[in-house]
Amino acid sequence: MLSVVAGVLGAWAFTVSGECSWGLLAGAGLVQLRLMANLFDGLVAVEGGRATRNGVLYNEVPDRFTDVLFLVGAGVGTGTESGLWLGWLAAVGALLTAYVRVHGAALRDGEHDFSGLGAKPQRMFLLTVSAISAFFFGLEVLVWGLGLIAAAALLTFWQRLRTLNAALRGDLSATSRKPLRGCLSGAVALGVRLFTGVRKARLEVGERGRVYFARHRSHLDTLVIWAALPTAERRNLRPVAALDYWGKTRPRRWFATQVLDAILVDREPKLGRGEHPLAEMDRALEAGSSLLIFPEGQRAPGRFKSGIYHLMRRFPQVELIPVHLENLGRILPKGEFLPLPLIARAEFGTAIYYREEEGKVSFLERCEQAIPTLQKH
Amino acid sequence: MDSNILPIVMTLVGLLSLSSVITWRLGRRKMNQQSRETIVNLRERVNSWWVMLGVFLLVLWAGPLASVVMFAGVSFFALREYLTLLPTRQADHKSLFWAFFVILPAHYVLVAIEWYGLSSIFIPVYAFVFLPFRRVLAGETDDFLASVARLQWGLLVCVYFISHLPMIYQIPVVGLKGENGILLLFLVICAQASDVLQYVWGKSLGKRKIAPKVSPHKTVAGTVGGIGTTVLLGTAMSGLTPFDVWEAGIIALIVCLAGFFGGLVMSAIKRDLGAKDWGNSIPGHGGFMDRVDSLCFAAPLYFHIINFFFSEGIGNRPSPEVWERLPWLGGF
Repeated sequence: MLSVVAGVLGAWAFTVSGECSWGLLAGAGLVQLRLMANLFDGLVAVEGGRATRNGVLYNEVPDRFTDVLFLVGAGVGTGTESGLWLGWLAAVGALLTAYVRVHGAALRDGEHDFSGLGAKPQRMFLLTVSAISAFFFGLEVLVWGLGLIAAAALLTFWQRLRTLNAALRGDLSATSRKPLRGCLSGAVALGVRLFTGVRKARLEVGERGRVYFARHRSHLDTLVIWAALPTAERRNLRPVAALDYWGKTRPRRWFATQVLDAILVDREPKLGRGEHPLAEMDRALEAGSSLLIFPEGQRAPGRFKSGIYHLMRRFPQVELIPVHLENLGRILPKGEFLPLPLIARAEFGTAIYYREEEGKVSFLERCEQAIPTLQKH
Repeated sequence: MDSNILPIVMTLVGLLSLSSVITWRLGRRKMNQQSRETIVNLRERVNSWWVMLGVFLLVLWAGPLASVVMFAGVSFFALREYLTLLPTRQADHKSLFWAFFVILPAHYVLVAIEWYGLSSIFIPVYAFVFLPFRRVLAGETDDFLASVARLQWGLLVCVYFISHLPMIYQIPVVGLKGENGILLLFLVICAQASDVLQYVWGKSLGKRKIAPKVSPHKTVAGTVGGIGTTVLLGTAMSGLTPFDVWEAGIIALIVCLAGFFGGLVMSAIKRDLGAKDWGNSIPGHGGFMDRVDSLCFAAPLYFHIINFFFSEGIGNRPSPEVWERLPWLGGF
């Protein structure tokens, strides 16, 4: 109930912000108060053993009123026609996201889908930020913020609807496909190509998964090969990356697993703990994904280790594509943090295959020699 | 856009359209493999010219600040191509980072805020003093002098020289009322036309090579014909500029000669480093540096000729008091 009071006060505060800009700050504070009230309501209910069946109703219904009050209040507060429209649009979007979530929960045995950029905490965060910035930079910022919230809410509505539809059809793979993440990967790949000057390779897209391999000189190697692949190949690629680097901090780990879709491998596995590091690579190849591996296992020059041989012995029909990287060791050498904008090149060689009659040593040698050498342009 | 450049703009668009039509017609003839490759390259060149002309005209239309931003970009890409070809080592990493991300942007900020007194010395004084300090901190003495000198040369040519192009807007030229776009256009047209016309003359009747070791495609006929035609072109444009016919001709000649030798110098560096082109970012032309090599060296000369002879800029005459105390020199 406290959240509705916060909503009414917040709506009033935003409404008067045209005349008195302090209303923006008060409104932003009340938005946060409302989020706290939500949290508090839930805690009290659970603590006091009052989590009753109809408690859900008391949570959901007033929350929708509060949403509308805040967003429309902010729309009125901008004092412009477009701001008012966007405020209402954001409110409709907020109601739709909640609607599809609750409806989905009813159809899927109470399983709520809280995902998306337009979910309540996210949109209230956006509202707070845009209200505070509007206090400093003028009311136009609030109009932009409301537009952003409306867009995010409608996008989230659409996304949840698709996920729900796929889940009801029983298509579980579609539930994990994230359209926003696809855009993000595309943008990151484009950024990497622009910064390093690497061109998209003219490669034929394979029918099934492949194994790309290269010599490892820089932390950027994985990113550059990933970004140089044709889009379809890139989406299908699962780079194999060292856990001790890519899993070191949470953001880095998130980037490796969510954007690059990497397989993180512990280079020094504790004996007897967990599965063999190659097991996940096997599964990826069986599922038709491509792999990217650095057979030297380190960034210093050395001979190829035998991992690639054992992998290929289990998947003899898979194409092995050697990649030559140029200048990466100068762009980001070992021990440096800041990359230079020198021009990198990634050259893809012709595919080689595992041969059964061949021994380990000569196979590894053949792999090493298959890496194309630089042609001077 | 300044009103005085409109006729030139129309002429340029017309000429380029004509070249598009000609290359298109040429491409439909039957010919051997070698000529076919030349025509394909020619087409790529003409298409790239459309893009470059479009960007340049947009910048001329948008004014001084846009030209600072554009030439900052050109400097960045030129420096990037230059340093990519150089044999840099890990000890250079930090000073290279400074060059790209601190010195280059800071210099162009100084150009943008029209602080000529500082922008004209920032790189030759402050950057050139600082960079060897940073490099010596890396503690590596192998190749020290060469690596510092290479980086300083790169900053000088790719950043300092090129930045004189947007700085043309800052010269208080007598009788132009601040519409300096025409001066920038005059320089760029002379330098680029000289390149194009040398190519055309050379391809059509050039035989004897002028500098076979440095630049295997430059011929005597191409060079003389190209420069001669460009000087004529410069005099033809004089009516729109603050120059009279003779002045326009002489300035065009200086720009052409500086461009010619600048092109040779950059070509010699390129060959010294074992490359044919500076890069492949502009289809048909090579890299950015292949397109602006002649402008690099012409720009500072042109800037200072205008500043000395055609403006009342500060510091371009000796102090009058000192001058008067030296009567045996006779004064000017």
